[in-house]
Amino acid sequence: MEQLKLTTIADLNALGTYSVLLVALEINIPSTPTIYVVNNSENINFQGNEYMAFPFEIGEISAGKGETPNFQILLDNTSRAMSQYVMTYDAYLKQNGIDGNGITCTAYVLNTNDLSEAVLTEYFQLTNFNTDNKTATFNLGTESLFNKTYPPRKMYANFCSFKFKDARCGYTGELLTCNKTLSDCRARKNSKRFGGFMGLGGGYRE
Amino acid sequence: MATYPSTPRFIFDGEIITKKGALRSESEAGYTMSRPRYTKAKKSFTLNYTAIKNEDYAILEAFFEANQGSNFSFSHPIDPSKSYTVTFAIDELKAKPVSAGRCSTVVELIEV
Repeated sequence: MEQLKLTTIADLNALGTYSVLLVALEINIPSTPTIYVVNNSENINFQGNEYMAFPFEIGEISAGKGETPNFQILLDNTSRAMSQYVMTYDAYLKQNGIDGNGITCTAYVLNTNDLSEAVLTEYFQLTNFNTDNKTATFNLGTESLFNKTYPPRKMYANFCSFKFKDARCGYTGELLTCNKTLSDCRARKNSKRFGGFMGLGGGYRE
Repeated sequence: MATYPSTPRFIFDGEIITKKGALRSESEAGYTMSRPRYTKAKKSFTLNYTAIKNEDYAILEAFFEANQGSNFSFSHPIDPSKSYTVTFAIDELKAKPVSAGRCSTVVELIEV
């Protein structure tokens, strides 16, 4: 465990103090700018990044039998900014696949008397999310082997499991999107490398 | 950003509240540990308009309709040099008729 400065330890143990302990989140959603938010009444600068004052709640950690521990982060979605991020991410996943493109979140506990270090740092991975008109809810947890895809590659009749433009896809043209179907692959003149299994579930597909 | 109308003038029996929360934890030994909950205090304002003309009320009403839900700047006459970014803390603007052509109302603003 990282050694805290003596001044920070003194602040944490003081009976009364001017310092505020704040929870800050760094949320990395592939394809969107990194989100820096802090549950405070004004913005905070930490490690060269400006954490925006933004209302959010952190739920209780639940750890049922046979489940990995997980908890919820509820971010305010009144401005619908989070919905926009989530929709952009959804479109990104359709093009690029989920492998290596999960949402990660770093939670910091900060002591405002000394913002050169975090009192506590924890890393989480997103397990699922949803949004409504008031909140964006992210379920975060640790990586579970039970959630790993096995076998690593599944067989679908009309869905290519390759990442668009990666080595297995091999497309080098100008188009930027692909909806993973054979017809889209043909439109890109790349159907020789289509990653679906057309013979499955009733034969040839469009 | 819109600016809160300076007319009609409200009367000074309203309230200015400065809010800064703290976390307190009382121990069995009798001492209390405390620390602020956040770094910046926020203000809220209650503005009482007593017996204003109906046409003045219409100014407030038009501003309320145009700016409900959004932020605007507000300066309190107690210290006009300070400007606050506020929003309405009410969902209803109520006019209470007091005499012919005059009414009273209360506006609550909260710093964002």
